[in-house]
Amino acid sequence: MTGIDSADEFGEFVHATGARLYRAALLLTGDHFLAEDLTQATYAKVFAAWRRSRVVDNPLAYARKTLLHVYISHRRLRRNTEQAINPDDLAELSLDRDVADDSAARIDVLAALAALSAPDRAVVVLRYWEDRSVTETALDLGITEVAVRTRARRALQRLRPLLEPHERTRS
Amino acid sequence: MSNDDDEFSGVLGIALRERVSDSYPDFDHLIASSLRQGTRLRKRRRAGFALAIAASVAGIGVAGVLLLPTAQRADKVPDYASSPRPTDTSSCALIDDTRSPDSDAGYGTESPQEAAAPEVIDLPHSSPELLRSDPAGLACRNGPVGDIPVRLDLPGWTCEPPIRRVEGPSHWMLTCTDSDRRVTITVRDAAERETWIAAADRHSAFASEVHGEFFATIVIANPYQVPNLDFDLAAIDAGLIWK
Repeated sequence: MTGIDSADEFGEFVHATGARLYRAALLLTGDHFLAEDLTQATYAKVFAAWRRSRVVDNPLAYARKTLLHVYISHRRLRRNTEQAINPDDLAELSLDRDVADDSAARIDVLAALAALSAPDRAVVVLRYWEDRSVTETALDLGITEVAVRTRARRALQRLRPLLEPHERTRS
Repeated sequence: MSNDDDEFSGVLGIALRERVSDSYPDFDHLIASSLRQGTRLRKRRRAGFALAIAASVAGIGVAGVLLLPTAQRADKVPDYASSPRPTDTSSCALIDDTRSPDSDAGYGTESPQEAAAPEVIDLPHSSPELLRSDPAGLACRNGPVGDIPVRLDLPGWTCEPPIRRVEGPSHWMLTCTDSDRRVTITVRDAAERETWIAAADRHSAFASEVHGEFFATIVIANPYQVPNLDFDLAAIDAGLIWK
């Protein structure tokens, strides 16, 4: 495989998968810029390993794992500089918004995700946005299935009071 | 999982999909920058591999000399310096995108399959206790921060030691706080300013003018912590002192 072929194939791969990975990054980071940085860092690593057989076999799976790994590693690096969000503050903030305004309700989804720890958010994104099974999520994150279930349950318990009022109001 | 949880998880899945359904990256920029960054990673990895081989060969050589009888060793072992050289331990931090996830902090480059699971990665940089106890020592483990071209001089604001990014679209990151606000200032290539502005989320971000080869982006560290989105990022930009 020549360098040009490799770059062309990689470009096609990014076009085919970029939106999906970027959206996952957006849900994980809650910020467009961080999502772009995360997506770019992910694709750079994928390209650096592009000729490896396991990347060629399933590049999307490789990219997804890389994205999660980069995200969690980076979050741990920055953990000391970021403060956890108090869910009470979030609830107060969300109630201030006009719940009939769809854009405001959309903001609340990302705001609510920000209340979760990085691994919990990753579990939520994989399980409920990507529709990955518990087994697949455990493999992607390198944790046990029990840990996936525990984190998912805890995340749902934390998200429910933040998101359900809007759903009830809209229905 | 209870029926309530099942029902709510369905609602959550729909909400998540709706939230990001109209979000797309800038594909051309993403491909070009990923190719550029990925190529640099490849070269760096090859260089590291060559260095590791050279170090191994040197180690074998030294071990061979040390195993010689004392009389023979005296003729062959070179003199060593009598005292160590002073090391520059100025405040610095560096994220090396080329290191493997299980070797240290920062972005990993090894395959996820090779890397340790995220739950068990040992990341010394990310330990709040370690950072509090010896930030300079940890920061310098990976190299100097270099000559960061900007600092924030604004009453009431303090900044943590800058983080140097070896690879990626940005070069330095500064986290600065006052009593109740927190921003991330990122120094980026001037050439990327237009692209960055085109994708900007106006609620929580600001781009400085170009200063030499760089410009800075100022982002509220977490926009959802700030109910008032009229956060005056321009005032922070005015406090940036460029070299």
